[in-house]
Amino acid sequence: MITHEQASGMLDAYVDGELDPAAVRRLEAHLILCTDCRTALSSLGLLLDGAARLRTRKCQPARDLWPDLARRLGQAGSADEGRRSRHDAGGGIPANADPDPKRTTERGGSLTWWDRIRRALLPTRPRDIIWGVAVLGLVVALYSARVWQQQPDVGSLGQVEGLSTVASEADRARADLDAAIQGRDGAWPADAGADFQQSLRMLDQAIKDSRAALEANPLDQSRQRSLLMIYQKQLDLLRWATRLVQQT
Amino acid sequence: MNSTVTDPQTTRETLLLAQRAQRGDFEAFEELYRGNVARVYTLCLRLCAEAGRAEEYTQDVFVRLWEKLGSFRGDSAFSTWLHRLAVNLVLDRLRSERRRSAWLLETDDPVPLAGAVRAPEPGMRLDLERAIRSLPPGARAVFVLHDVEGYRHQEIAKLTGLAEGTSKAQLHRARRLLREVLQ
Repeated sequence: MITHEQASGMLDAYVDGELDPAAVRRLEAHLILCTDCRTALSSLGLLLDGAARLRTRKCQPARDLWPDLARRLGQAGSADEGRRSRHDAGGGIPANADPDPKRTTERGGSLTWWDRIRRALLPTRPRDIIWGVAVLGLVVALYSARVWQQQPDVGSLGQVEGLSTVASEADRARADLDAAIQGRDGAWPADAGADFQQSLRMLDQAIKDSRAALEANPLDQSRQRSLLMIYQKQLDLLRWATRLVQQT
Repeated sequence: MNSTVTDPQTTRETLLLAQRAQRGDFEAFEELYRGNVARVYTLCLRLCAEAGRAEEYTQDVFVRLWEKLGSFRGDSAFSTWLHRLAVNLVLDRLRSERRRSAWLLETDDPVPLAGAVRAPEPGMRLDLERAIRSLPPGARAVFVLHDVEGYRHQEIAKLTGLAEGTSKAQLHRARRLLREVLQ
């Protein structure tokens, strides 16, 4: 068994997935018994969820910075001439990264990939038609790979691996807990019920918020990962509670 | 750093703008600025915790962007490249302002973080923003980079010059202080 102090010091590594399996088992055994550590874990989960939500939140400066910035760049104008000359001499984004055909320049007899693709899209010679078929095949293959990659776990909750599974497991764990409580005639072990229900309410609210945000932006993978983590915490909590009810 | 989902059309337009700006097109550079200023300013504000300095650093980031645009070759998303450039610049500025690296290593907890930023409900976003600003600089930088921006400790160590263990210790400290305030 580990001490409460040791367990408290392990919570960060636990939520970051940095503990080895043996340490995870020791910590989880402690969490079953320690209300303080469970509460700390719940609040840590909420904090991380809040931090992940900040990632998409932006704020504007109180004033328009562009006029000052333009002045500063204007003062550096003469130095920029040299910089731009260097770009023109071959630096910068390569031509084959240029998605705009109008801006692509021909380079003598040496064709870039983009030149070839452009000719393939507007073929005038048999060789260009072959290129066209090759490009079309590549596009279809890439699209198929993308669709195939997304299929295994594309549910109403999105693409992060394991999200729908852990959500279903959490539902099952809740049903198991309800059954265990009913087996005790609806009575919780002394002092455990209120703490558990408070933690569960916090996690339920965090799940509700995350799902609402995902409805607005279903492809937000950081949000999906955050939701996955909350579901995992909820699942852990429900299982601990079930074991606790069954053991007492 | 965590990848973000980017609209391909936006990526394409940004690439075109970056290329025009590389050729000295000032209007294209202004469009790049308008499209990215909020993200850069927010990052600067979270890292330095002062609106005035965040504005100054934001301008510095775009000046450096103008100078370095030639080295952007489109290998990564422009937004990712700009983000890295902004993080590097702000950390450089903070280090030079506060005696090299000392600010990242300091371990004294701030005089009561609680009170002024206590949240009426756990997880309230604005209170979390305010609480982050109240963190000691080193803990704040590591928390913002790790938990908000999604960098790994290894990347943070490279960016800040800290040992990975120190980065973890600062993160632990930041989380503890924030939980105390927000509970």
